[in-house]
Amino acid sequence: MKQLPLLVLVVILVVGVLAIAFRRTGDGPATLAENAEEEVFTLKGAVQFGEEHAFTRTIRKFEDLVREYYGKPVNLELYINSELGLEKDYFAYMSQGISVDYGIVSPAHMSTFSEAAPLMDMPFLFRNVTHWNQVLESNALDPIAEQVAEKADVRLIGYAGGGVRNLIVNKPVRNLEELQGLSMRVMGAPIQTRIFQAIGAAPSVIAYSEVYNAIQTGVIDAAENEAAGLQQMKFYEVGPEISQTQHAITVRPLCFSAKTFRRLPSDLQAAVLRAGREAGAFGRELESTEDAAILEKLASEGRLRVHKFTDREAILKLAEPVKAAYAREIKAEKVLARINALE
Amino acid sequence: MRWNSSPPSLVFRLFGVFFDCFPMNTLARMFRTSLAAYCRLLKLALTSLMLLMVVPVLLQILSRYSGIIPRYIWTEEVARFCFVWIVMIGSMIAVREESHFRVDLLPQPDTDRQAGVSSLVVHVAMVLVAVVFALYGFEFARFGYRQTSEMSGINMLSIYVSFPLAGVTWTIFLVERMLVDIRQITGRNQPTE
Repeated sequence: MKQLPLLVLVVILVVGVLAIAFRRTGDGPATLAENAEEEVFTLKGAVQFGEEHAFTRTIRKFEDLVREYYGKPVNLELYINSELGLEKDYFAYMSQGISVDYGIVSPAHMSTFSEAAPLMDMPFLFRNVTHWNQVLESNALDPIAEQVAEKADVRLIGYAGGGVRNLIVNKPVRNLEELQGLSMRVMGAPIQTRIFQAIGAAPSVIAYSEVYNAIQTGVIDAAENEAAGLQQMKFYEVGPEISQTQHAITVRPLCFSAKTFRRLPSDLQAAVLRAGREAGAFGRELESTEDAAILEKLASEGRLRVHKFTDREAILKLAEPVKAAYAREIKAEKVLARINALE
Repeated sequence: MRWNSSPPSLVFRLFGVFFDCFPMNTLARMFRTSLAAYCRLLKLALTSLMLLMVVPVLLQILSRYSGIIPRYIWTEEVARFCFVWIVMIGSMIAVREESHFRVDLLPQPDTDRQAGVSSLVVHVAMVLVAVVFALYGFEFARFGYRQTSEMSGINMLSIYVSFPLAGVTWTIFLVERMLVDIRQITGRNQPTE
């Protein structure tokens, strides 16, 4: 009976893996049980950055507000520093209702679900910070949020962001002429590529985490990012010449998994929605005031040099037809018209 | 007629004839030949995908480093999709050809029969993973169905479906391997042909 130990091993393996395979998902503490009033819900958040980053602080604020408005015990666990993957993964998890319940995700990562989503993060969409704030305070973006909720089953409960995106280059770029043929990294959405192509740059799509190495090894000469990202990812070490194109003011929706949301009691739902809206406003205020300060600080430390971009009017003009054509394609002319109409 | 008088015996006799026409080892051979054909098809697909992947990668390199062609953005996407399929199809073929690497955990078998048991343990463990892929893969594929790719606009089901397909294919190939193991354990490891 030499095989007996092996046989036992086989049986253990079979039983063990079957038990894992057929366990139903969603039995976690967030399920609405019979004794709902005694249950403590656990919600999980995720962020790519460390504690000092504006997104992390916005989500921390969201958690504080949820606790405050809900009034009852609730567990909110935030996994920082890309512990649970990248933003694109967070969004997929929220869409499936697994692993991550809330997080801040760039609209570019929603584009496989909702083709209109990248519009809210389109370069040259906002005239200035005041216009941007106006749009996010109004309900101009609601049609897009509805499309995301319908297609991806993720709710956009607040709008953070506020970083002003500039070019991060390894050589000075001060005008349209110097921008021509500049090989740069853009986010993986067609609109990003099209706009930067229209203004004469040579965009490629490269993963965010590989941008530093790509500039260092000469695969690209430039990237574009807001100050918070520039600081966090230390892009200034390889691209110390900042060209102030101010081509975009970021919109970073605070997302909440709709599948999780439906499982929550109504008072917690209300707390989540209210906290989301207010944390979004907090995040906007935070990042938009910090943005310029970070650039100034890094410049004064001699880590980077900021160059004025003299042809900003010219690139705005070049981008205009691309924006309009894109809005037509994704059937979002009305949204774009409303955004443009706001003061 | 005699047909009416004793139908059961006739039915049994017909069954007997049926089994004589399709003896079990013939069925096994048919199973094996159809799997061999399926495996050849997979190899063909794998080779074509690898050839196909060379094109976008080459275009991307040329556009990045020489600038003689425009910077197509679809190249990254096509290369990625090809790569996913290459990995999944490669793993299917590797299951049938037993070329996945193994780590020695079980004691070295002394006899043929022990070797069969040892191999069966490995295959049972693999089939459990395969079943998990097959079952959850369909949910995963449905998740892909709700998405369209950014650049080319194709439905992401065409990529996500590789996971359940791999799960099903691994299972079928492993059944074949396990039948071999069982024959070896029961001492009938000499095929009839």
